[in-house]
Amino acid sequence: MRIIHDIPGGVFPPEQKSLSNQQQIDTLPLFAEYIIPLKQHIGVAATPCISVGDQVLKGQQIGVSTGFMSTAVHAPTSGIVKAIDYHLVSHPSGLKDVAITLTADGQDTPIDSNPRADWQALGKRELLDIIRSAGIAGLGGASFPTAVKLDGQRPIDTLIINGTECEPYITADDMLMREHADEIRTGVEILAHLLGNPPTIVIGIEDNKPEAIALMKIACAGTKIEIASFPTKYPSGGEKQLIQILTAKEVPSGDIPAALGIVMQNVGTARAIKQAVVDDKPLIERITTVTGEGIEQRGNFHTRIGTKVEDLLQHLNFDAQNTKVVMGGPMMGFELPSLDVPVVKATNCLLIPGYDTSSATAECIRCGLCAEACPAQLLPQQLYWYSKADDHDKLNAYHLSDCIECGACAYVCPSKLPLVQHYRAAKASIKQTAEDQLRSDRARARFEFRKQRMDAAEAEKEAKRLARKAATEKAKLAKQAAANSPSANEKATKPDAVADPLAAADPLAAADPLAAADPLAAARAKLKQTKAGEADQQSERLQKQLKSIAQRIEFIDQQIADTLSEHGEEASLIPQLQSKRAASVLKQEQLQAKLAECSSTSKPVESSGLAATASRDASQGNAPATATATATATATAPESTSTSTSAPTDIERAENAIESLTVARAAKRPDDRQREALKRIDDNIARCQQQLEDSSDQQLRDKLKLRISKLEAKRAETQSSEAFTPSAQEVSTDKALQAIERAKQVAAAQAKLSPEEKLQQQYLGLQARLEKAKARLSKAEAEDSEHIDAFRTAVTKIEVKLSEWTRDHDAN
Amino acid sequence: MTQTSPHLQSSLSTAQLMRLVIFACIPATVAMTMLYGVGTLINLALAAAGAVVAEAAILALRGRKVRSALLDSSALLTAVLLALAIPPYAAWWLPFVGAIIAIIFAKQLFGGLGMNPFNPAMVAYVVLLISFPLAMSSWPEAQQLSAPIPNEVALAAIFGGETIDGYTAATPLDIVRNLQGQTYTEAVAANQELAMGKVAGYASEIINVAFLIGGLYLLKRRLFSWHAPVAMLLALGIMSLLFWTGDGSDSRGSPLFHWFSGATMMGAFFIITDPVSGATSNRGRLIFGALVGVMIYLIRAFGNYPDGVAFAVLIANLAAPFIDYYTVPRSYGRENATSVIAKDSDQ
Repeated sequence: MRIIHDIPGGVFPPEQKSLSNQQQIDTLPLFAEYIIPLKQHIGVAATPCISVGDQVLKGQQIGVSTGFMSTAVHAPTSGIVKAIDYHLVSHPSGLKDVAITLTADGQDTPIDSNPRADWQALGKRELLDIIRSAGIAGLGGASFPTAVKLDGQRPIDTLIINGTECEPYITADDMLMREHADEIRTGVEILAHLLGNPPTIVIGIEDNKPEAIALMKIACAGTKIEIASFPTKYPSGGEKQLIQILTAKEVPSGDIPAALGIVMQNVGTARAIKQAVVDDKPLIERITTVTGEGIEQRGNFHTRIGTKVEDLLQHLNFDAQNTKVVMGGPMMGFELPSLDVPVVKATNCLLIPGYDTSSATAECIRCGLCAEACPAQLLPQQLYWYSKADDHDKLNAYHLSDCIECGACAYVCPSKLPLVQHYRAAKASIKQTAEDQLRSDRARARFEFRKQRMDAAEAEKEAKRLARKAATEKAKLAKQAAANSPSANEKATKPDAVADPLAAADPLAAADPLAAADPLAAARAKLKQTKAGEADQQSERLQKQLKSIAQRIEFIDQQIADTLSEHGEEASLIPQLQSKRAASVLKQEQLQAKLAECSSTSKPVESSGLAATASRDASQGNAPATATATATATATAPESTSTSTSAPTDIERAENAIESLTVARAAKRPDDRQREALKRIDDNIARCQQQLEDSSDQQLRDKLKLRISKLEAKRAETQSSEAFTPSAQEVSTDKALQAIERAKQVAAAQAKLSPEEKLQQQYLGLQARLEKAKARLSKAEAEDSEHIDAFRTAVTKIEVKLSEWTRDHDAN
Repeated sequence: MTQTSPHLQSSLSTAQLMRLVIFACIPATVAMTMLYGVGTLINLALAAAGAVVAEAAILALRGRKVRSALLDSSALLTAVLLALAIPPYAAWWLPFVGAIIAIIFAKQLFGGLGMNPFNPAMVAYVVLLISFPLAMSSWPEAQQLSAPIPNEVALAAIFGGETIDGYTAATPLDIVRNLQGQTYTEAVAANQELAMGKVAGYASEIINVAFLIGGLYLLKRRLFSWHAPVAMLLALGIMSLLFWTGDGSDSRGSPLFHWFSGATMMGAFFIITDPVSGATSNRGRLIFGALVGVMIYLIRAFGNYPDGVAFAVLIANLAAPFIDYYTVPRSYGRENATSVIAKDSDQ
C-alpha cells in the first residue's frame, strides 16, 4: 500500500459527481458539420495538409504536426473540407483561430488502419512518432502535446497516471475508468514501455470514485501497476499536488516533474495512447461530461473532436439561450462567450451551472482564508494586494508564478473577490513587461552594436581619407619634382602654356605653376585609389560580413540558452533556432572560403602588375625610370598598350601597379627609391628564374627568358642612372619638404604660444591680410581691373573683421 | 464581462463572517449583563449607534455605497467589542464618542474596511482610557457580590454626569498589581471578588470564560486559525510563570490568574484574531500572538495601567507588517521562504 501524504490547503466544494455518473457513456449522432481547430494543444498549431473541397475520411490526418512542440489533427468523420478559415474557438476571450470546417457526408467512412498487436516490439522513437501523428495531447485539460512530455532526456523512475478528477461535477475520467479500464491498463503498459519501464507505476484516484477504483484494481491485477486512492479534496488532481500526495516530493519551482524522475499522464491520455498504438486510431473523440443543475439530460458522451457545443446541447434538448455554459469544471473552466465553438481535445466537461455565480464583491479584509486554502502555500491576500497595485517585484517575491490558478482562494473568499482573475491579469502583465524588457534589451544591444560598427566604419573611412590626402600630396610633390626635372620640363611647357590664359584671369593662379598639373595628379590618385583598393575592399567587405555572421551566431546561441533556461528543453523555439544557427554557420564557412580566395587572388594581381610594370619599363629602355610623370603618361597612352599584355584587365592591373608604384616612389627619397627599384627588379628576376626552372612549357620558358633579360637590362639601367638622379629633383623635393617642415614648425610654434601671443598673432595676421588686400586693390585700381569691386569688398570685409576683433579683444 | 473561474464559491461571506463574530460575543454579553445589569446593554446600544452613524456619514462623504457597506456589519462588530470593554454605567457619550473615534479615526481615515493598520476598537479604547482614565477604570462591583445599582443612580451616571462611586470596586488586576505589602493570600482574603473567585476573581473568571466559549466556537467554525490565540496565551502564561513568586507580596499573579482576568480571553479570541491588523501567515501569527502575550504581561506587571491588552495589541499591530515581512511561508516547490527578504536586500 502506498503511503498517502496530505497537501496543504485545499477546499471541499460540493462534489456533485452523481449528477452525471449514473448512466453509461452515451454516443452521439453524426452532426452535419465539425469544426477542427488547428491548435488544440499548447505549442504550435498544426499545418493543414488538405485543401478546401477535398474529400477526407474519418481518422484521416488533416493537419500535420508543425515541428517538435506540436501535434496533428484528424478528421472526426468522412466528408468534404468546407473551409480552412478563422473560426471562434473555445477560449474565454472569444478568440478566433484557424480551424478546418468539415461537412460530414453521413457515411462515416474510416480510413484504413493497421492494428499493431505487437507494440512491445516498437522502440521509443516509433512510439513517439505514432503518438505525435495520432494527435495526442494531454486529455486532463492542459492539452500539452503528449509526445513532447514523453520525450524528455531525464531518467524517469515513476510513472503516475492521474485518475483523480478532483474538480466537482466532472465524471469523464470516472466513467472512462469504469468502462474502459482494460484499455487504460494497456495504455499505461505502453507508456511504461516507452519510458524504459520505470520501477514505480501508480494510478492515483480520489476516494469518491469507489467503482472506478475497484474496476481499475481488477484490470491491473497481476501487473506491477499500483492503484492508490486518497481522500477527496480539491485540488488533489493538480499535477504538482498529486505528486505531493503520492510521493511527498515537490516539483521544484519553475521545473517539470521530470526533475524528480516523474512523468504524469491522465487516464484519458493513456487510453488514447492505447487506441493510437494498438488500434491505429488517431485521437478523434474523447469523453465529455455534460452536467450541471441547469440541464436536464446529463451524462457522459463519446464526443467527436470538433463537435459544436451548440449541436451537442441541442441534441440534449437544451435551449442555451441566455444561459451560462462553462467549458471545463466549475473551479477552473471558463464561460463560453458563444456556443458556436467546437469541443476540443481538452474539453472534459460542459457545465450548465443553473445558479447565479455572480455575487457582489466586498473589500478584502485579509481574513487569510485564502492563504489556508492555497495548495501552493502562497499568500493570496498579499498577491491580490500587489496585483491591484501592479507591483511586479513584490508579486515575484511572493511567487505569483507558483500559482496554479486552481481557484481555491477565490472559492473560499468571503469578500467574493475574483482573485484568480487578478492573478491571471498580473501574470499577463508581468509576461508582457518581461517581453518588452527583452525586446528593448535586444534593441539596445542591436543599437550599440550598430553604433560600434558605424564608428568603426567612420574611423576606417577617416583613415582612408587621410591616407588618400597624403597620397595626393605626395603625388603632387612628385609631380613638381618631375616638372622640375630636365626631361619633364619640356613637357611641362605645354601645361604652362595652357595655364597662361588662366593666369590672366587670376593673378594668384599664375603664381602657381602646378595649378594646371594638379587635376592630373588628383585624377591619378583617384584612379589608383579605386583600382588598387578594390581587392582590399572586397576582402574588407567579406571580413565585415564574417564579423556580423559571427555576431549573429553568438546571438542565436544566446537565444537558445535563454529559451532553454526559460522553457526547458521542450521549448518549441529550439529546433527553429538550431536550424537558424546551422544556416548561419554554413554562411560563415562560405564567407571564410571566399575571403581566403579573395586574399589569395589579390596577391597575384599585384605581382603580375609589378612584373608588367617592370617589363614595360624595361621595354621603354631609355625612358628615365624615375621620371614617373612620363611613365604614367605613356602607360595611359594608347600606343603603350601594345607593349603591354593584350587583355584589358591586364592593362588595368598594370595601370594600377604603376599608380601604386608612382605613389610609393613619390613617398621615398630618390636614392631610397632607386635602391627599392633595384631590389624589386632583383626580386622579379629571381621569381622569373624560379618560374623558368619550374616550368616545362617551351613557350612560357622563352617568354620568361625574354623577361629575365629585359629585367637584367633594366637593372643595369637603374644602376647606371644612379648618377643621373638629378640633384635638381632632390633640391625641389627638398624645397617642398622644407615648406612642409616650415608649415609644421609654424603650427607647432602656434600650438606652443601662450593665449596672449596667439591673439597677437591673430591680430598681426589680420593686419597682414588687410595690407595684402589693400595692396591688391591699389594694384587693381592702377590696372583698372574689372575685379576692382571684388577687391574693394574684400578690403572692407577684412577691415570689418579687424575692427570686430579689436573690439572683442579689447573688451577683455 | 465574462466571469472567470472559479464558478463556485463557498457560501461564507464577509458580512456572515462579521455576524458570526458578533454572535460569538453573546455569551460574554449575557455574562456581563448578569453581573452588572443593563449597563452593558446600554453601552452596546450607544456604541452601535455611534459606529453606524459615523460609518454612514463617512461613507457618504467618501462617495461610497452606504447601504452595502453598512450591511457587512463590520462597524457593528467594532462597536460591540468596544462596548464590552467600556465599564457599564459610564457616561453615555463615552461609548458613543468611542465608537465614532473607532470608526472615523481608526478605520475610515485609513481607507475603510480592510485598510486599517490598528484594531479600531482598541484604538478607541486607548483614546478613551488616556483621555478619561477615571471614567474608564470605574468598574462596578458584580451585583451578585453587593447590591445591584439602583435604576436612578444608573440613569444619573449614564445621562446625568454623576458617578457610580459608591458601587465601584478595584478590579483583581488592580489589587494584584499593588499588593501594598500584603501577601497574595492576604489580598485575596481581603477582597470579596477575589475571595469568591476560583483563580482570578468572581466576575473576571465568568467574563473570561464567556469570551473563551465564544472564541472556541469561532475557532471551530474556522473563522481564524489557532496560531495567534494559542501563542498569546502561552506567552502570557510563560511570562507570568517566570515572574510568579507564589504567595509573596511581590507575586504578580499566577498564569491562571492572568489567563482569566482582565480582557485576556477577549483579546486572545476577538481582538488579535482581527485579520486586518494582524499578521498574515501562520508563522507570523504565532509571533504576533506571542508578542501580544509578552506585552500584556509586561504592562500588567510593570506598567502603569491595570490591564495591558489594548496597548499590547496596538504595539503588535505596529509590528505586524514587520513580522509579515520576515514570515512569508515557503511555497510549493521552493527551497526556502526567504526570497522576499533576499530580493529586497539584493537591491
